[in-house]
Amino acid sequence: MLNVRLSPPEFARTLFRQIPPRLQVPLRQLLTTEPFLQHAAAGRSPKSASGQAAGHIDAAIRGADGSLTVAGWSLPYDATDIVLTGDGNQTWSMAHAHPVHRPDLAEVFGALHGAGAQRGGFITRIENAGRAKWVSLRLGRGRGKILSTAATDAGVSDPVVLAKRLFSVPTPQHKLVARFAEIDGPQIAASLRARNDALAALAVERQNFGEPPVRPETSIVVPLYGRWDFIEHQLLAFAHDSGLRNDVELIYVLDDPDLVEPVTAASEELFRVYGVPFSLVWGHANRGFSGASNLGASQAAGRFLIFLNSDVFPKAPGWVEGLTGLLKARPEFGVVAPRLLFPDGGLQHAGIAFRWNSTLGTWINDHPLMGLPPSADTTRGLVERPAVTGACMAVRRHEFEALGGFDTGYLIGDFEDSDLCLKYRQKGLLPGYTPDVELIHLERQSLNGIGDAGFRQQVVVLNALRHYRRWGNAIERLADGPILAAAQ
Amino acid sequence: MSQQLRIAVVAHGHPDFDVGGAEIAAYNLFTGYREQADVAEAVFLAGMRRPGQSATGLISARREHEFLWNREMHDWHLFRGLGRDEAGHRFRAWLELVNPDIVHAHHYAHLGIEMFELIRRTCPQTRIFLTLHEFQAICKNNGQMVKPGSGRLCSHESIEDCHRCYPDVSREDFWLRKNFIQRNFDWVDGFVAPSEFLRQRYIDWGIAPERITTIENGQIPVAPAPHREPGRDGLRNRFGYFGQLNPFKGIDVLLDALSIAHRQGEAPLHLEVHGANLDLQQPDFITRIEASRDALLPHGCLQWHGPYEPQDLHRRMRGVDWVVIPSIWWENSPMVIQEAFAHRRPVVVSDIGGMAEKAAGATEHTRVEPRNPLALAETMVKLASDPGIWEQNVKRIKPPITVAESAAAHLDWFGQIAARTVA
Repeated sequence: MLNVRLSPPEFARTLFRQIPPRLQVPLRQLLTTEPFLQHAAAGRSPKSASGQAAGHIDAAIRGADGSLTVAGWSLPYDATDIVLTGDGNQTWSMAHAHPVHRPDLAEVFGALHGAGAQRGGFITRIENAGRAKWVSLRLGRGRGKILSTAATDAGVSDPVVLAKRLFSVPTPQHKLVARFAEIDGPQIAASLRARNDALAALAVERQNFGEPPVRPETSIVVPLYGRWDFIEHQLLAFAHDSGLRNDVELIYVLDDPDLVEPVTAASEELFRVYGVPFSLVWGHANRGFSGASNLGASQAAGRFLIFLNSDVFPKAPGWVEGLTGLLKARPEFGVVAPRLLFPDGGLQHAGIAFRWNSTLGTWINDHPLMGLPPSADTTRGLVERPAVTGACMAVRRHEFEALGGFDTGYLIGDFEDSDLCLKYRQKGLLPGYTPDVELIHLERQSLNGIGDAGFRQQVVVLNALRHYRRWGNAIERLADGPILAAAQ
Repeated sequence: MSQQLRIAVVAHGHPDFDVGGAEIAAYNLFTGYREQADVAEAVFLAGMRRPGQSATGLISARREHEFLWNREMHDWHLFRGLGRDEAGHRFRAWLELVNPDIVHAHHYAHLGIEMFELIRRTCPQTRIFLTLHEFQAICKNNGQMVKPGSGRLCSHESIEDCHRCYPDVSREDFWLRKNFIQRNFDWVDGFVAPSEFLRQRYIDWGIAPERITTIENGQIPVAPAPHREPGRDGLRNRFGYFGQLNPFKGIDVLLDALSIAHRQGEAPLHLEVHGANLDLQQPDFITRIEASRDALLPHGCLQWHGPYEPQDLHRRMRGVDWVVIPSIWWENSPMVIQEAFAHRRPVVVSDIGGMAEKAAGATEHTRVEPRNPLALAETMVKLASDPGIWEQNVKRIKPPITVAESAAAHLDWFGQIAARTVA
C-alpha cells in the first residue's frame, strides 16, 4: 500500500509551495518527500530513539503579537523528549501542545509507536518567539537530532484568512473551546487588533444625496455588504414616512469595496425617485458589522442612533418615533429594539436570551420563540431583555459614544449586539424590547450547532468564547430563567 | 372524556406539500377533531423540508391552527432527528404555546423519535397517542415487511431474520434498534392501527394488545361519481389504478396482466392509470414501466393519465368500473380502497394484509394472489366478461367511515386510555 520513494529536495520544495492554504500536510503526501520515513514504513526497527522518533512541522505562523503557532506531528520514542527550537537558540517545550487526531500516522507508525501514534498531531502556541525565521522539531534538549525544520510564515495579515488557516488543523468539536482559548483565540485577537489599528488610519469619504437635515433628531446607520438592491426597498418605505423623510439623517455605510462604484453611481437616481435624502460613507475597507456601524455613528449628527440592517423593512410609518419615543420616556433603558418578523410572518426577534449550546459547548445568543407566530409573544409595551438584536436597535448617541460603540474584536460578525447590550448593563442601563414596533427582517434561517461543522460554526465558537470571557457572570445570571427569560 | 380538549395532531408532512395517504389521513383527522363538541382546539403540526436546504428546526405558522416544523432526520436506523438540542428547544417552545392535552402523532420518521420523550418532559400531563401507518418500527426495509432484494413477503421480524436481510447490520444492532424504538414508544399512552392486520403485526412485535386499537382512517364525505354508462355489450371492463407508481404498488404486475389479457384477447379490457411520482423511482424501474406502457398504448387498451389532486378524483373515477390495488407488499389501510368505496367502485386487490382485510366483504374472484400477472389477467377477464359480478360487488360496498366518525372513535379511545390510567 505504501510506496515510499526518495525524491530530490527540489521537488519537495515545489510540492510544499503548492499547498499553502492547508496547515495539515497529509502523511501520504510526505511519504514521497521525506527520506526518514523509509525506516518506519518499511517496518525496520532502528535501535536508538534517534532512529525511531519522528515528527514534522506542517506550518509555523508568526502572529501580529510576536507569537508563533506551530502545527504538525511528533512521535517521541523511549522517553526522549521532542522539543521545538528556533534559529536564535530558543528551545520550547511541547508539554502544552494541543493534541490533534491524525489517523494517518497510525497507519504508518502504528507498528513502532502503537495505537498512540494517531494522537501524534499537535498544534501549539509559543507566546514569545522573538523573530524566529526557522523553527525545528528536535530530539532532546537543545542539540539533538533535527526531525523537521520549517520556515516561519508571516504572510497572513487578514484575520479571516488567518482563522481559515488555523481552523484547517482539525480538532474534535468538544475540544474546540479549549483549543481556541489557548491557541487560535489569542493569535486571531492580535490579528484583529492590528487590523483595527490599520483601519483607524484610513480615510473616510462621505457623499450626500439631497440635503441632509440640519439638526436631525435621529440618524439611521445602515451598513451595506454584498447585496445592495435592498436600499431601494428601504427608500420606498422611508418615502412613505413623512417624519422620517424630514427629520432623520440616513447614512448608508459602504462596507464592501465591490459596492462603492455601483451604489455611488445609482444613488443620485435613487434620491430623485424617492426624495429621501441620504449619505454614503466609505471607509476604504470592509470593516464588518461593528466597524461599519461605528464608522456610520461617527458621521451621525442625530441625538439618537438607529442601527439598521439593510434587509430590514418597516411595516408602517412612525417606527423611528416609536423607538426613540421610548428612549425619551424611559431613561432607565439604554437600548430599544423592535419586534422583527420573518417574511412568512413568524417571529424573528422578540429579544435575545443566552442559552447553553451543548453541541458547541458554548453559550450562544438565542432568539426565543423564533419562527412561531407573533401571537406566541405575549409581551406588552417595553420590557427588559437579557439583550436585543443589532439588526434594528435605537440608542442615545452620547451614551453609545461614551461606551466606545460596538466592540470590533469579534471575527466577521456575531455577538456584537449582545456585547453592546452587556456594556450598557454594566453602566446600569437596560436593553429593552417592544412588540409595538414591527419590521420585517429577511434573515436567512439557519440552525445553530448542526449540519455545519465547517468554518462558519468554528467562527461562532470562537466568538462565543470571547463573548463569554468578557461577560460570563452576567450571561449566567441572565440565563437563569425560563425560555422567555426577560429578567423582568 | 372531559370537555374542552386541546389536541395537537403531529404528522411527518403537510398535504399542501406531501400528498401521501398518511399525511392526508392525519390532516383530515385534524379537521375532524375541530368539529367535535369535546374539542376546544385542534392544531396541526407537520414536518417540512425545503428543497436543497438543511432544516432549521424552526416551527412556523402555515395558517391559523396549522404549523410547519422544518425538521429532518439523519438516522433512518434509529429514527433520530438531526440537531436534537436545537430543534428540541423549538419544539418545547411550541408545546408551551399550544399547551395540548393530547398529542396525536402520525409518525416519528422525518421528525425524530425523541419527540415523544420531549413531549413527556415538557408537558408531563399531556397524553400521547401514535397512529402507526406502516411497519417502520418493525422492518428496516422502509417498513414494508418485504425482504430486500428478493422482494419476498415477510411475516415476522426477529434479530435473526432481520440480520439476514441486512448482513451488514449485526444481530446485536437489530436488538438495539428494536429496544431503542420500544423504549421510546414507552412514552406513548396509546396506539392506533388503521387496520386489524397492522394491529396484529405490532402486537406480535411487542405492543401490549390493550395499548393498541384499530380505527379506520375517515373519509371526507363525497357525492359518489355516477357509474359509467355501460356500452352496448353491457360489460364492466374498465379498470382503474390510482396512486403512487413505485415498486411496492405492483403497477408492473398490473401492466403485465393487461398485456397477457390483451394477447389472449378473450375479453376487451381497458385500464386507466392515474399515477404519481414515477419520475422519483430508480431508473431501471422507470425504464421497465415505460417499456410496458409504451408497448400497450398503441393497442388502445391502456390510458396513461398523470397524477391527480384530491378534488380531481370525482372526475377521474367516472370512467372506471373497478379499482385495482395490485400491491406486492402488505399495505395497511390503502386510502384508495376507501376512496373507491366512497365512489361506489368495487375493488380488485392482492389477497394479503390490509388489502384483503378491507376488501373482505367482496365476492370471490376479486382477491388475487399478489405478483401473479397471469392470475390477475384471468381475474380481470372474468370480471370484465360478467357484469353480474360487478352488480353484486357494488351492492356489497359499505360506505367508508367518515372523518367525523373516525374522530369520534379516536376521542372514545383516548377516553378509554385516560380512564384506565386514572383508575
